[in-house]
Amino acid sequence: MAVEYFDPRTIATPVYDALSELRTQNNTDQSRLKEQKSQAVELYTYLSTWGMMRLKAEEKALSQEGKKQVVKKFFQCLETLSKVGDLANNTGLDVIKKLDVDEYLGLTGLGLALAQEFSFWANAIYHDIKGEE
Amino acid sequence: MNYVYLYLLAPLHTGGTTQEGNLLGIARESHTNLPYVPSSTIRGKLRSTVGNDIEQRIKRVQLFGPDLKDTQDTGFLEMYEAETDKKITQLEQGNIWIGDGSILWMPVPSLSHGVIWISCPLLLQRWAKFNGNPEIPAEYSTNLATKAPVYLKDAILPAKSLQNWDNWQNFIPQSPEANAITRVLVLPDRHCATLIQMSLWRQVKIKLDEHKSVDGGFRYEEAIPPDTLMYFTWGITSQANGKGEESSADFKALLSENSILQIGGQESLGRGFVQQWLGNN
Repeated sequence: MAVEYFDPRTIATPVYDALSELRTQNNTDQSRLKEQKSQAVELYTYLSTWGMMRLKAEEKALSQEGKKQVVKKFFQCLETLSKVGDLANNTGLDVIKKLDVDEYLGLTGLGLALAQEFSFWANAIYHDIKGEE
Repeated sequence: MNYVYLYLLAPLHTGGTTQEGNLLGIARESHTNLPYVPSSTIRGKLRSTVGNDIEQRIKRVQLFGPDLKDTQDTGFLEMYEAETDKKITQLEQGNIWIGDGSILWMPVPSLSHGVIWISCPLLLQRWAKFNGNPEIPAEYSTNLATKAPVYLKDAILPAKSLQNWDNWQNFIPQSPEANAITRVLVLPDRHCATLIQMSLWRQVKIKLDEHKSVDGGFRYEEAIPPDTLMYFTWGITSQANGKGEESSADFKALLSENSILQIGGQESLGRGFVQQWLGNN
C-alpha cells in the first residue's frame, strides 16, 4: 500500500473508531453512555485548563467508569498519533513526566486538537443521549 | 502604516465558528488558529462612537462610508453633497481602512513569576514589519533572570534554555498603558500557540431550571484574557482622494476621544473593555 503523507482524516479516524467502539460495548447502559458523552465533550476544556499530566491522572481519579473509559481511549489515540510509546498504559504518567519541555508542549498541542475532535464526535455518535451524569 | 494598541481591561469575546461540543469559541485566524479581533468588529465599534448630529454624521460617512440608511435618506444625501461636493449613489468605502486586531503579548500564569507575558517570533515579526524593527529576538529570549528555571502554566523551562534579552523594551510600546508588561518571554511559534490556547479565558456556565437545579451540563465560553496587548493597523483608502489628511486627523481625534472602548459580546457582563491608544511610528 502506498504511504499517505497527508490525510485529512488522520485525527478524526481513531477518534471515530474509539467512540463508536465504546458506545457499542455499552449500548444498553444509559447512564454509562451519558458519562461517556459528557467526558468526551469535556476533554478539550479540561486539557486546556489543567494540562496533560492531570488528565492522565484522571484515569485513576475518576470514579465513573464511563468517564474513565473515554480518558483511556483519549490516551490510546494520542499514543497512536504521536508515536510516543507507553502513553496509554499504567506507566503513562511517568512517560509524560520524563518528556522534555519541547516534547511535552508539542504533545499538548496535538492533544488539544485531538480533544476537539472528541468533542465533535461525541455529539455525532451520542446524538440521542441527552443530559449529563 | 499607522497602528493602534489595545490593552485588554476585561476578557474579550468576539464570536467565532468553533462550536464543538459544549464550547463557544472565539474568532481565530485561519492560517495560524490564533485568536484575533476581526477588523469589522473594530470598525463597527469606532463607527458607533461617532455622534448623530448632522456634522458628525457627515464625518462618519466620510470616514467609514455610508450605511444603507444613509443612502436612502435624501435629505441627508443633499446635505452631504453640499458639504463635501461629493455625491453618494451607493454603498461605498470610507476614507479609512482598519486591519484585524492581532495579539502581541499575552499573559500566562507562572508559579515562579506570577504572570509572564509571552509572544513568539511569528507575532513579533508581524508587528515589527509595521514598526521598522527587523531584529527579532531568538526563541526563549527573556528579560527574566536566566539562572533560574521559569514555571509557565504546567511546563518548566530549565535555566539552560533561556536567553538573556536586553532590548526587550523595543518590542513593547513605551506608553503608560502598557507599563504593566514587565516580565516577557519569547517562545517558539509552536509552543506559543499551545500556551496561548491554554491561557485563554474560559468561563464555565450552567443553566438552571425553574427549581434552580442544573439543567444539562457545563458550557464554556472562550475569551482573550485581560492584560493581553493587541494592536491593529489602519490607513487611508484610495477612496480618500485628497481628503486623506483631513480624515486621518478626524480619525485620530475620534480615537483620542474614546480611549476606552467596548468590543465584542457580553457587554452586560463587563466583557470586552479595552484601552486603546495611537502608536508612534
